[in-house]
Amino acid sequence: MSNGQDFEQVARERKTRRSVFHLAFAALTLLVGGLLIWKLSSLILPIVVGGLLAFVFRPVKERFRIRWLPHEVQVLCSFAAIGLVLFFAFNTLRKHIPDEEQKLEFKVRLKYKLNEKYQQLIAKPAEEKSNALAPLIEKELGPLMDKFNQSLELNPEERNLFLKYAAGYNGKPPIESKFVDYFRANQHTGKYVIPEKAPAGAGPQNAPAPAQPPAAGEGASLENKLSAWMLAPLIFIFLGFDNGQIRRFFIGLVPNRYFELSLTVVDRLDDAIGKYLRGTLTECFLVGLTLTVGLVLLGIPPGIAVAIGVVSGLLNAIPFVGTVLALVIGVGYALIAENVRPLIPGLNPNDLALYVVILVVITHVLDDVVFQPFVLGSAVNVHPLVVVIAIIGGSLLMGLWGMLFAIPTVVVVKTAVATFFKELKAYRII
Amino acid sequence: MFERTYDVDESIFEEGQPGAALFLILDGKVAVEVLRETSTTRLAVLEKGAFFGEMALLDETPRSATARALEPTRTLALYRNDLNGLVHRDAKTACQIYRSLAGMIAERLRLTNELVQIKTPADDVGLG
Repeated sequence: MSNGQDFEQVARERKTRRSVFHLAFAALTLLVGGLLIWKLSSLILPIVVGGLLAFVFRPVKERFRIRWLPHEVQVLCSFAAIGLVLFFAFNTLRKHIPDEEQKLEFKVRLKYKLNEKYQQLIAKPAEEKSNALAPLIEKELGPLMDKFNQSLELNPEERNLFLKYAAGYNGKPPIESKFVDYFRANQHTGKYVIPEKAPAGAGPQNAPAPAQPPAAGEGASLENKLSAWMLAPLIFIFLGFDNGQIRRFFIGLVPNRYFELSLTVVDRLDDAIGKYLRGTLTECFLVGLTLTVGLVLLGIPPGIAVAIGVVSGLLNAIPFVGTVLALVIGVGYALIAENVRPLIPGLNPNDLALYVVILVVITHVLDDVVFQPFVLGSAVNVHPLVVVIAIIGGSLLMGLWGMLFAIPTVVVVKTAVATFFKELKAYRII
Repeated sequence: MFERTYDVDESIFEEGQPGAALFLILDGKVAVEVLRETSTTRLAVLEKGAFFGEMALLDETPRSATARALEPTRTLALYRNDLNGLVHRDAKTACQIYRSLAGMIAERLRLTNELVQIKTPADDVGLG
């Protein structure tokens, strides 16, 4: 055999060895990775949240990229800017988060007002012989009202506390006498649906359930959850300090043949996810702003309107669920609101709940027709059926967090697959 | 910048593929070739300090030639979007890179023109 043939043989053997090694290494990595994900599943969410936060706030870091400033100082400056904005935002919001006394007062007012509205709905006007709709309403809404009343019922401890606050407690002025009257009226709220008689021999219907002993390890579980969530800020900080090292490391693992392909795919994916996340935040902001302005125009105090706008705007990140929750919060407040003076002339303050429903519907339509196409564009269009399935699937797998992350996950997977196949074809690999 | 190493005869990029990066040779030798039907024409052999694939930084047209390592080669790759990002972060440095790129492309165009003039009879040379 000639020297040239020897060299070719050695080169071929080396190539085979390299392929086998790469395949074995990839299989081992997948196996170990899968095992780690399965065993450490509780860490996934905090890591994803930390990573997403770092992703969302990356433009802030880019703003502080000044040539003569060391990288660490640039990152610290961006953290300081983010911290300051968040501090002022939380401080402003905190003023509108109800304290213990206000929570009790809201419960009392909501129960009273709900029952008042319900009574008005089913009452038979004096001039009319009968209200044909009343029995139907009573049949349908009665059980629902009973459930509402049950959930808004103050327990003995809360009742005592309310009475203390009513007289002035903990350095706070006494609760308005009108609300104390509501509290008294609430004591006499009866049931709208008369429970059927229990069959003879059956045990007491409302017998208290035997007290469950505290689950073993409940405290430890909470501690584990807390320590897992400590990862989110750590991931955020470490990704903040990253200066492209992580990207360089992973691109370094890619075989030469796929080097430019991987650079393009990673870049397009990064661009698409970044646009989607920042677009969603902008969309949430616009929805929150529209609701806030609308509520102020309807006469709701600006502080409360801002709080409802912020919560509803943030919840808008969950399709459908956001709108429903905005409706519940908005109508809930509209029902207990008193002395409302709408800024739009001609509106009847007694129909505030109806106006809030109209406002939420208008905001939802605006979001669908103007905000989403304008801010997100059509690049990340997902079929409504996929959205519904993803949200339900996400909630089944991971509860509220699953619902929140369902659509971003669908968008990431959709963009990754589309970009990957497009580039594989462009590079003539498939 | 990404450091990459290539074995003998390993392709760095191939003609017709989308280009995404410029390569600077740190060590080794690289052949730039074009495949025409059945034959391969070698356009140049580049050595340490030379760079190739510069058109990828300017537009997204496919590679006009294939680059192949002639011996174990170490390169430094500059990705197009990293250079685009540098324009916003450090315009002065980006400007210097683009200026030297433009100078080198002009130099290569001049050499190509000279080559065309040598190989083509004077009457046949035209701009159209």
